[in-house]
Amino acid sequence: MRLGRREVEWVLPLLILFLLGMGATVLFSATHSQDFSVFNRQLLYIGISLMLFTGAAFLPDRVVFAFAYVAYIGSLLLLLLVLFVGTGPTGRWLGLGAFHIQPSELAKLTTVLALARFLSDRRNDLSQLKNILYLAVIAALPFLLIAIEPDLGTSLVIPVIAGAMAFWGGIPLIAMVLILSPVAVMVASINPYSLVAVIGMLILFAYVSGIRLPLGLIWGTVVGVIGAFTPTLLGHLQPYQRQRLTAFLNPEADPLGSGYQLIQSKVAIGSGRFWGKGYLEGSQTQGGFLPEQQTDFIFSVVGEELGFFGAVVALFLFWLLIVRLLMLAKKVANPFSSLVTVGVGSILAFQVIVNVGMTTGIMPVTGLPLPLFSYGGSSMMTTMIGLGLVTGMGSRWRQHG
Amino acid sequence: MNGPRRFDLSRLLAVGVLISSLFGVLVIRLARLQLVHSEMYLKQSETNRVRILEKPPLRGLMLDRNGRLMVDNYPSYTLLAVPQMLDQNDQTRDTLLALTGLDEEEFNRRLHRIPKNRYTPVRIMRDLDFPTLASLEERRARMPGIMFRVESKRAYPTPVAPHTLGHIGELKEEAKEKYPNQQSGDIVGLAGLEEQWNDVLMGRKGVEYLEVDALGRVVGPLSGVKPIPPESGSDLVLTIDLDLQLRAEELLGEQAGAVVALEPQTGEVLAIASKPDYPPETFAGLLTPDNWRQLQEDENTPLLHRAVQGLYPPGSIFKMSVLTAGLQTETITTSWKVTCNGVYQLGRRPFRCWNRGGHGEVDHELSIEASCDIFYYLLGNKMGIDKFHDQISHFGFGQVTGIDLPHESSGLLPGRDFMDRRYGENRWTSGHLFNISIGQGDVLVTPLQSAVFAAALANGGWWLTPHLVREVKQPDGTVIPSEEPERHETGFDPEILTLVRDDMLLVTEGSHGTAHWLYDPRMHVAGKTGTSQNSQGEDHALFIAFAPFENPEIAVAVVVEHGEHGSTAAAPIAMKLIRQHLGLDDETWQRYRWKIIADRRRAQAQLQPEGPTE
Repeated sequence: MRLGRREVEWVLPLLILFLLGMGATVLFSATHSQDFSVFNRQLLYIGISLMLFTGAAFLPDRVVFAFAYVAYIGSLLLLLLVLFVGTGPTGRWLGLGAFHIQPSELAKLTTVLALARFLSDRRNDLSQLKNILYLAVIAALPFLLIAIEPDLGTSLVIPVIAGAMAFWGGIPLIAMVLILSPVAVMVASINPYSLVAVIGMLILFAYVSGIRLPLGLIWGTVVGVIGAFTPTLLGHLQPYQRQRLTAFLNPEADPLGSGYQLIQSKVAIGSGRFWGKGYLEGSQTQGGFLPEQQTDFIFSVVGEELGFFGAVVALFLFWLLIVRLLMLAKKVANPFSSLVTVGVGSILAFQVIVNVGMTTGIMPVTGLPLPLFSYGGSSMMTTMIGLGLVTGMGSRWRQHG
Repeated sequence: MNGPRRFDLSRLLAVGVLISSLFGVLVIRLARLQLVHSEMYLKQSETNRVRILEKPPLRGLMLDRNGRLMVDNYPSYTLLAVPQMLDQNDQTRDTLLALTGLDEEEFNRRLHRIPKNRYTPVRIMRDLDFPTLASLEERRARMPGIMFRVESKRAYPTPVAPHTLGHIGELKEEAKEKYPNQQSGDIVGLAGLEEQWNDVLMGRKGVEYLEVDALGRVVGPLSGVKPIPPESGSDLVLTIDLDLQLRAEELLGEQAGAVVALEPQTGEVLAIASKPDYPPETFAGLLTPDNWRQLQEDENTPLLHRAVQGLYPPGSIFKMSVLTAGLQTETITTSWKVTCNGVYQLGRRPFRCWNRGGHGEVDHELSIEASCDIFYYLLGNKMGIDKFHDQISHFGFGQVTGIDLPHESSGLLPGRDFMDRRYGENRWTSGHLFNISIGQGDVLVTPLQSAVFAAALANGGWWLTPHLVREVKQPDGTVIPSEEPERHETGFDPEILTLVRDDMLLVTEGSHGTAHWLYDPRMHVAGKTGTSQNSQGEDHALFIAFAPFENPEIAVAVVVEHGEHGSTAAAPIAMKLIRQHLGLDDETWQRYRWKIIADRRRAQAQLQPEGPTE
């Protein structure tokens, strides 16, 4: 579609409207039997979010670029503030009159902007170690501030964003592998087979990439030590320390609560079968078996009432949204816009995968919301602002060459 | 576009493939749940489904220092109910109310204790007695939604030290903040060591997933989910010597008061007794509100742990600290003397020595041995409140000792700030200072602080934080020694302390000693009697001591409320306790005693007439 000199991006808004509609419909089913106010508030949030979306779409790129660092620093200050004056059940909210905002949600978006501005500058070439370190610092600040709230689930989005944007921004492959390998080994060390597999892959990579010997030795030692000590470290913890560690990773979790949620979520989804039990007909959903159903476990309602069919449709819409974002990242002319697009796409992809993985029981309960579906203003608004920015950027591309 | 690597399209493709394949994994997972295993989940969702039953962990035991069992576990039956099932069924509810004797309001409170919970069974009543259990079990088939679970309650092979061991009970919603790792309704330690060491003793509860039918009857374990077994708590090996503890409680008997015995070199508490007390089983299982009210309202305050919470004016046992402070600050020298004729006139107000006849010329030695008050009136006044407070606080007075028991009192050591606040700036006089210099007036100490004071004197100037746990024994048998206790240096000149210790020996061995009638030739005991006036009635009797003098193994503090005289009510208890700890018997001493006293009398008759002992 052309409007004057503009090529208007209409695929993205269309997909977003589909997803918002589906999300609100499902949320109604999850909450109508107990409390209408949740649904009404969510409608209000969606309305505000649509306005913010439109406003963001009309912001000129250079304005976004100019305010990228300011917004980043502002959200860091909010994150600091929430450590001292945080309210709400978990102390992660900031009260603003009648409203509460969750600075960690905002920080995801502003970190994308800051990283995009940094990486769009050609002088910040990621083949130099110095620049990789700068990038790491930009990501580490919000990561640590969110992690000590403590909200490790949300904080994990930040390294994912940074990784995806650095990858697109041209970080040498070898540096990427070097950075990721300790994490991979740590995770793989839970199980001896996966550990052997990961180490084998790393050795193969080292051989193929022709890594120099001194660097290779240092790297091998670091990775080896981490791999060897992770299980010992976990094994040596006192029972109560281990309990505290799990409580830190996920403050809401308790053997009763999270185990209960997970089982009920799996029963809800599994019992939906192919076509689902029908809208407003899910016995698990309507029986109120799931404590966090309107927020983190909303996808189980999709699974129960709309079945495998509905769940796959929802996932397909999300997949289309993300693929469209990746296409736009290729299309848009300026590096800044392209990087922002990848950043926003990586937030969405990570949250959808982790959230659905959690509700279906293949990922730990982390408390990440499902974008555009879960109840909550901060998450909804920041997601929509990010998508608005990207839509605007996607509408202003000029065919280069 | 921008150099060789930046914005490399193949990388975008790689990201796309990675994300797409992860979406593929999600779809496969959904297919597994919704297409492959859907029958199982559908059945679970139809049959009203899943119950989660908590498996309480076995709480750790407590043993004395020699491995003798002090706190044991004993199985008891707990009644549970599923809120959703009982809310629907008034008949079951009425039967339950009738059988358990709970009133409806209390029953509802317990049933809905966990907010938003409808399907997880909650504890209604612990420690069911057998008739109730039997009649419930009989009707169980007609009462959907009730369950039983074996939970352990505490048992005490030797009923001893109830205040120190503490007790367990259900965690109330209001107190939840104190136990970050527990949920309300969990059985946690609510007092004493049970409270202080709760995280170690508690272990971790397990969870069992059950499948139940529409009537709430358990069909069997839920397939496809592994139960989480409970992890037992760790045992505590205490520093307490059970024999010595029993002896201490026996010696106090019906008298109100406290006894604390420490190992001075290690800070380990050998015995810590408080009377009056209550049988430790009182809180082990079911405590009726009436029993509770009765204990709380008893005017003898049996729930108070007097050893760490009881506040007493120390009286004369305080004198060593004043003497040490005076010598350390060089307010006086070792040759300083006062003349005591039984009373000191401060303006129009007479300040009396307990010995109305007067002690004559008193030096530091006699001031401790015969406990002359006039000496300390003048010493305290000469030193002034600032030095007084500064120096004496080094002995630990006016602050908690840091023992591993909850709710310890800090006592009170008045300083300038306190006096100004209490009486107004410049409104307090030498008279107040006179009083606090003999451990009266506003000075307040706990028996534990007194024992720490004795230990500091025994060690020659340092003390360790007293503690009750020697080691933690984990369920797998590993033993973790408890943390090194903190070492506190008083900073006093060792020579001064040697002098003070020598003076204390005279209390039991000198001819003027206030406790010389308790002299036992088999052991050398340094001690000090105290008699403290108080507003409640007869004077409190106090005694602190350590022994053997040359190489102290035990430091003791005894307080007998309204015991009138330190030397007659408190000192004998301490001496008997020390004898037991050193492996000496009482009978031998009893036999020698009269002979010794007779010898003494004869010797002293030639020297001077003797007044009553303090």
